[in-house]
Amino acid sequence: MGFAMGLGLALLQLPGTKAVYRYVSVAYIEFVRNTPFIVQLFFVAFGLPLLLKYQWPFEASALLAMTLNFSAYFAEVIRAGMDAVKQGQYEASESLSLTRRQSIFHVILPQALANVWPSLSSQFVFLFLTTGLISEIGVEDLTWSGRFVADRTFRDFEVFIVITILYVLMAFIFLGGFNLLKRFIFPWWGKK
Amino acid sequence: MTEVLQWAFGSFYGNMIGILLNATQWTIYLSVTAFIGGGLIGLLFTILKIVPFKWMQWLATGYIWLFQSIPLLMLLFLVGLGIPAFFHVDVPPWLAAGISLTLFTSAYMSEVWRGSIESVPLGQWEGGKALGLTFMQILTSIIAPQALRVAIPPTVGFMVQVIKGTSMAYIIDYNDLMRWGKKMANSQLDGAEPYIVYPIVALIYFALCFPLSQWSKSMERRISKN
Repeated sequence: MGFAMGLGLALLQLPGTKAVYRYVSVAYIEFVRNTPFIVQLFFVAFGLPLLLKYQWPFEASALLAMTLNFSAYFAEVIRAGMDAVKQGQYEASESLSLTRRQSIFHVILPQALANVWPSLSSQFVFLFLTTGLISEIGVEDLTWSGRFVADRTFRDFEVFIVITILYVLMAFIFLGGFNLLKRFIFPWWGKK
Repeated sequence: MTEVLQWAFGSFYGNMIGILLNATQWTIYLSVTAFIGGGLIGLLFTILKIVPFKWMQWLATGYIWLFQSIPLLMLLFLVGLGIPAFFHVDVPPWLAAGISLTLFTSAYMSEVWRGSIESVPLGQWEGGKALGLTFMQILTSIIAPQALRVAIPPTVGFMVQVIKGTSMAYIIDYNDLMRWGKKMANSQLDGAEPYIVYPIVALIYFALCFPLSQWSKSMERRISKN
């Protein structure tokens, strides 16, 4: 979800879109990237339900906060990727009389994503490592269960070591997964 | 200062913002501690990573990989709760937070700095060797000045990550901005609802981070222009 929204935000910044959209998307990205995730999370989990007078489950808050948070980071990375695509590519797709949408989705975006794939994956792992914070609002994730066990056994050290190892393993698996995906999505990459 | 705030925002919000800003200083202290400590250890491992000894390089690679893969939250739990429980020692929150953030920072910093050292062409090393300089001489007088130019923007940029990272320290009862914000949001006072307090807290963090990230961006642009 974060990826989809990030993609949308990045597309809003393409040259040729209305300046208003561009400013809104830049302002959003900068604000999210310059405030801690935990503040955003608490605002979504405790502030919004009060404001809207409607209490949704904490899992939903966590999901919403993570989407908002991830999207800004992904948008920034994808935008960097699109900046790196050469101007000639835009002109070439124009000369082939592709529509704007066609040129973005068939020409620009695949190259942009392939360009930034490594930073996209490391960004993802970095964000993944911060997700333990959602245990703070009572979502029963890995960190939450770790604290649950630690509080009952008083063996904090051993429990946290185990949880840490699990996180490290998952980070490793994600990185490997991203590498596999890369070969799958961009089979033409690196064959030149 | 509180008087000025009270005058500007009314007595209730003036007080609130005063307390939050007062707590912000602890956020800043922790960030600076982590940044300096992390910088020093990071520098050590950067050097280990490029010295011509295989086992030292492996050690540095392992260290960087390990602490980049451990969530900061887990580091905080381990140092702040795990170690005191296991070894029956008392670790004050500021120390635990400082150690965790230092470890976290050092791993990322040495990765950044290694990258910038590698961006210096290999010929510079060979040139230094041809002049009969030792490894340390080449590093400090030829490579480092060139690498520094590349290294500064991402280093400043990472400070933003450090500041944001300090917000997690409230979990082990470190009295920073986040903890006070949370305390206020949990209080039953009218006007201190979570949807008012957290945006203010967010704005304070933003005020700390945004100048740094803009600065880093503008330096990056200047370098890539040259």
